[in-house]
Amino acid sequence: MSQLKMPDVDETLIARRAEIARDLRSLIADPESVIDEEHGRLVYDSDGLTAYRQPPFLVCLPSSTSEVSAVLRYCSDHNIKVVPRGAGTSLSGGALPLADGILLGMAKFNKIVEIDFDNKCVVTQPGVTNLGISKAVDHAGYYYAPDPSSQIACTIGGNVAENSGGVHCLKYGLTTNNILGLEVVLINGDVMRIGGKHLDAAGYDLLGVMVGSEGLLGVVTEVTVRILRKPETARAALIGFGSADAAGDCVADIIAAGIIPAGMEMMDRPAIHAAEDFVCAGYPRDVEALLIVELDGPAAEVDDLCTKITEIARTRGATSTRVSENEEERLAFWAGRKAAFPAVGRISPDYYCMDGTIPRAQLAPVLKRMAEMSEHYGLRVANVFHAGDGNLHPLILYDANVPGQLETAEEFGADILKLCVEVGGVLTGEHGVGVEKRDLMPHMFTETDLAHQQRVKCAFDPEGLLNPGKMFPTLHRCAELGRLHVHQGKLPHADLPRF
Amino acid sequence: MQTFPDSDSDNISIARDEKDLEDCIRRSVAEDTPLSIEGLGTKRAIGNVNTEHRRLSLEKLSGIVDYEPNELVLTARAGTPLSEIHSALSSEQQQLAFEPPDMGLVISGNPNPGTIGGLLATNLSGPRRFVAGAPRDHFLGVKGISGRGEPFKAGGRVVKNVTGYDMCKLLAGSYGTLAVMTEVTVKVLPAPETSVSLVVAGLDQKTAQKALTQWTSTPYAISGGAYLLERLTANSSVPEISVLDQSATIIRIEGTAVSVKSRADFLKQDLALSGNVIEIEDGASTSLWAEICSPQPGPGDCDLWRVSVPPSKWVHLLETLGRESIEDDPLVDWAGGLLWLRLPTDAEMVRERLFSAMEEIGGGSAVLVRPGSKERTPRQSFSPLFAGVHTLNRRLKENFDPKRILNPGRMYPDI
Ligand SMILES: Cc1cc2nc3c(=O)[nH]c(=O)nc-3n(C[C@H](O)[C@H](O)[C@H](O)COP(=O)(O)OP(=O)(O)OC[C@H]3O[C@@H](n4cnc5c(N)ncnc54)[C@H](O)[C@@H]3O)c2cc1C
Repeated sequence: MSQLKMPDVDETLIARRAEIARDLRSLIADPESVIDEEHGRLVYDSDGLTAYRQPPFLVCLPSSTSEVSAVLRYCSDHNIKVVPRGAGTSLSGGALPLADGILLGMAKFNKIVEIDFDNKCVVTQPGVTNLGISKAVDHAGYYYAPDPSSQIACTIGGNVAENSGGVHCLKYGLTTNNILGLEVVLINGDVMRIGGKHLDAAGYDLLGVMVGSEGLLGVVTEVTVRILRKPETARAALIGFGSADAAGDCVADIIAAGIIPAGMEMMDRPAIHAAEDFVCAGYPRDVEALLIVELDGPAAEVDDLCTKITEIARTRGATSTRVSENEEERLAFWAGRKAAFPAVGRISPDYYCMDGTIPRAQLAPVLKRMAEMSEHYGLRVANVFHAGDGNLHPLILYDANVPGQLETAEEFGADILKLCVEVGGVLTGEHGVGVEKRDLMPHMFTETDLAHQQRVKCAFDPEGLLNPGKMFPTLHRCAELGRLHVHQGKLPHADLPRF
Repeated sequence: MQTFPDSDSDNISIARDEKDLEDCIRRSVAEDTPLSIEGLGTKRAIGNVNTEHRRLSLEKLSGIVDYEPNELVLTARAGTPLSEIHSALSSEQQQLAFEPPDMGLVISGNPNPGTIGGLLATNLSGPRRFVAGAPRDHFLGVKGISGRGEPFKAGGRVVKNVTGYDMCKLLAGSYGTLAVMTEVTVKVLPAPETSVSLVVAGLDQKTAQKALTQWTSTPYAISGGAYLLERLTANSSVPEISVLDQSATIIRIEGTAVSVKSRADFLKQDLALSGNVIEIEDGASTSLWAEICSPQPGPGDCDLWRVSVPPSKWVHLLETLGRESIEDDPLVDWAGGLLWLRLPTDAEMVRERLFSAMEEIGGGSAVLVRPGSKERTPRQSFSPLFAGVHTLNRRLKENFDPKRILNPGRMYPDI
């Protein structure tokens, strides 16, 4: 495991494990929902970012809002840290436990509370999976739009915390654009309702702030999501190009033509080959870049746009173009893309999935720089890319059993993310900062920028007990952040200790 | 910095650049003198603008900084007039998808859409809200100066970004009470090639509500759903509507010509079940939705409220509120999710009844966008928050503007 500095561990607390477990059991109906023995705790020692592992101090699995409230109030009163967890698929270490923190597993919140077709929304507990929501409304021709690849496993609570995306976000938005309301428990145990079935809420947009807050502001105990009517039809085009430049130009032309496809994905040669070897999706092997462009909506519109897109592809010198003629073929086009991660997993013992966003126009230069870096670090890289919105997923191939390779992969990854920022993009498009990109935050934000973000934290959790060590490279005391230094003209916290 | 401290009522600072602005805010922090932030002043009627506070104008912080149609993003200084942004976008067949209402029209009857900063700070959206979202959903990046006098930035210039808290959302709809925005980046989208409206006349409220719910539940991607009562149709400038002499239930379809035609054909069959279907073509359809987006002020002496409710509950809300509480016919937009209500001016009891009615129907929010009388301030212009939520709002204010320099009391007395 590579080095990761986490907040100092409170050893006196560790010594009180049994006592605290006993207290927690008195707050929760099912005593087995508090896990203190070592084996039970080990189950939770990591999330989707498996390079980092840490068994939690205790695991607590509440099953009602009042239990969550009681547990959080207890933790607040006793100054105990809390790490919320959904399905543990975070790729940024958002749910990485703390040695002296209670892991609050939300798995028992697995019921859909209400389906309201008239208001086109579903009220659900946060432990329901992303796909579970779509399945619950499928019979009536509805679905929940954001579709992370992990949708069979990840929970809606985790999606809210990470503001997760998916391949259809280009047209339908991210999690944040599809959430109407939340019930949230603050660290002091206060339960509050934000938003609801109406579209505009009063006061500050706390809903917008909660979504993407990575479990640092409150524990989500209920979510109201917007559901959409399934489009009448969907078709996909599979377009191969001799160069990434040409594919990038094609993407730009499609947007310039006023077309917003439901999804627009790109894969580079290594990713295409890995996917084709794995699932035989029928991808062309002799191309440098492959686009999957999906159009959905009324049949007449989709057919019309498919023609327009094939035309654009042709003028950009596409070497192969296929448009799906039926549902089976459309799904086959997607099969390779959807299996890209495990496919890459077959050609390398380990891979490290990155997640930066760049302005679309920077695609070709960034791919070129990445190839140079790959050479420099001596590690291969395969690219899958949400081309429509500029979200890159370079997969760095490495072997954890070779000493030093994980560290090299991490360094390579950090360089890619710095490059994203350098060309006008951002460190993370959908996977979150977590512990993974925490220390890169100063590449994108100044001290003052970060201090303003942390003041949001201070409003919700002034003692910093919820998920500390994530998102921010330095933990400031709220009292320190609260001081006004306007007369000096500068903000002096450079001398503050790191945690 | 130009300052005109001639008279107390004309006490205004006009920031020419970010430096001016920072100086001004810092001075106000040091001297404990609150500021009243404004762009073009088109939304001055919303909330409590304290006329005794020094005005800080952003009008001169103007201009589009960067517009890349192919990236679907636009960056502008906060005081840029929206009219300038609209014309830049329309020359590229693009638009702000959330259809900003023209509050100049709503408040005074004279068109003036205000500035981009003012729009984001009030988070006001138009008829496409229920499919395209509000300004908050298109707000990608911001530079600003908080009430601490510190310049900061958040977000970025790309659509997909989860790097840190979503501070743009925090500032959207914050009415300038947390920070003064200096530069903003928004997502822009292709404008639809064409649009058509389908109208069924004469439906009563309950039938209209069911119809809107049903039509927006089809897969035909409806991007507008409104209900105008008789008096409103009579005032319309669109002849097809003004001749009706009865209520109009209206939906809009937008997209490519091929798509609009095919969807309209399908929908006409559905709509025909409810009554005669009137079709309104592109140009007239655009005018009609502009009217719905920015309703005229109406009789001078009533309060105009903008009320967001669960879309299937607007009739229930009107019933709970009682006909006698409402001065004039309400306008229903967002397929039922938005009501423009004209209530007797300064009638505290009616206001309270509105708030409790919202609670009774399962939630909602209300903003008084145009008070009928000019005298009574402060007034309650925003629906109350639940206790815990209010506390959080206050704590955010304390953290971003500890000395209460920026628009204090504009939204709530302690915010
Ligand atoms: C194979 C694979 C593919 C993936 N594909 C995508 C993709 O396409 N798009 C994408 O965006 N992401 C993707 N992810 C990342 C991940 O699935 C998402 O971030 C997901 O939203 C995490 O959900 P979870 O339930 O697993 O949350 P966890 O991993 O358990 O937790 C994630 C964060 O949420 C917090 N949290 C969880 N539940 C709550 C709650 N109830 N209240 C408050 N905070 C909470 C945690 O503290 C943590 O910070 C992928 C992951 C994998 C392993």
